[in-house]
Amino acid sequence: MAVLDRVIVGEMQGSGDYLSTISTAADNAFDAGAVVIAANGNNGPNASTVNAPGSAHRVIAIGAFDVQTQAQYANQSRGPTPDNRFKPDVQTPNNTETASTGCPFGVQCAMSDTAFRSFGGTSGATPYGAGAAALLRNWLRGTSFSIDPGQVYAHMILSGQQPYPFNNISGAGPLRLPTDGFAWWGKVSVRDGQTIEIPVSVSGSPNRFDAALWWPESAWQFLFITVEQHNDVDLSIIDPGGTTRASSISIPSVFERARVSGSIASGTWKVRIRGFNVPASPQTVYWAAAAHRQ
Amino acid sequence: MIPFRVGKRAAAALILAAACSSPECSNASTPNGRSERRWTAVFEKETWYRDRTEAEQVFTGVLVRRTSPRGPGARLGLTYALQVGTGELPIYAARVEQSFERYVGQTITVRGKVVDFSAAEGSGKELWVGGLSASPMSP
Repeated sequence: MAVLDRVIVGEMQGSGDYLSTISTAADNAFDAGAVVIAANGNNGPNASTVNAPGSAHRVIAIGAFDVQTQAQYANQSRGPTPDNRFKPDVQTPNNTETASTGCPFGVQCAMSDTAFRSFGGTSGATPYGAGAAALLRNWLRGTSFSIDPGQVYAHMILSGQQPYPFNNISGAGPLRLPTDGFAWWGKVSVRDGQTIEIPVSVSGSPNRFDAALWWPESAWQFLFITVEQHNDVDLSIIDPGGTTRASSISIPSVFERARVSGSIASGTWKVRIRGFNVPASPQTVYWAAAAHRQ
Repeated sequence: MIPFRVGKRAAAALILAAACSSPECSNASTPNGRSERRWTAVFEKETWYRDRTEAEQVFTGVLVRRTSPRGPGARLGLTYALQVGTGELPIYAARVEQSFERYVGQTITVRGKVVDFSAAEGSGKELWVGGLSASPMSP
């Protein structure tokens, strides 16, 4: 466990679930203003094997692919969580060379300034996710002292390269921070059946328009009863002509991500957020959008 | 105990086992009339298990609990091992621990694939179990 500014990096492979003590602590850290990035775990390929606190409600869990081959890390834990959310949230590379003790895995020995070792597992990928989160947080907060961590999470999902539909192997996909363009972000409160349209003015010659949502849900345990409420919020991208160009309508997810590729016309685009099924309304939803070149 | 590789008799048992649709099913008598074998399905129906190209083999040994090394890169799902002779083969059992727990300390027979992650992912060889049987393999 390490703390990078207000980004907490969890390399731990806890065996509890999303209601365990460590998961609750991670959720509380988010509520206190921290971005929490955790390894998805190395218990795959069987389903529902995500470790704590990666499985927590208010944590971005990091899956892994090989840095050289781009192949899926076979042992990566798979979602869903027990309450059916997709995990991991995004993926970053592992098997990169890092400074280490140079000891074989599982063997304790003195630190070295010269030894190198390939850092595998989702633990080897998580620092890249945390580094990206720290960069995003610093950029998003600008000259402010702090920023709501949910805003960083929405940008992490936005930076995943897997638009809807999602799966429990890659989530929102491999992480790649957007460059060479413009980004917009914010936070809204969505009620059941409500539609909110957020206009963004696009100019220049971008070839991608991406949008993403992330929202924090909760669960409580009272005696032996678990109380949890899932809210289904949908996302669409509307072009200046009023045409829906992309949608993300996952039912079990707590994030959505949509993409329009090709020629992006200048004008006013809209990010449409719809409370499709929000029984525990209102739900706070963080959104992010980017028009950029890739 | 020594590893028992798939032969004609075991292959016939595998075909019969594959023909069963229920998670637990009892094979008909083997062709030479030896004792029935009851297989409990573990991962045999999972796509990720079927997609592995390693040959399915049959092993008989004593099931023991094991503790994976902790820390970054830990693979906690290797919670059991099959002791075969002087060797020990870790068993991947994430989310199916209940299939193994009651057999700890007993001699069991498993059908499975030895998957070697030594080169690509650094965690060594492990046994992915398609099915297990509580009774030892007939001699």
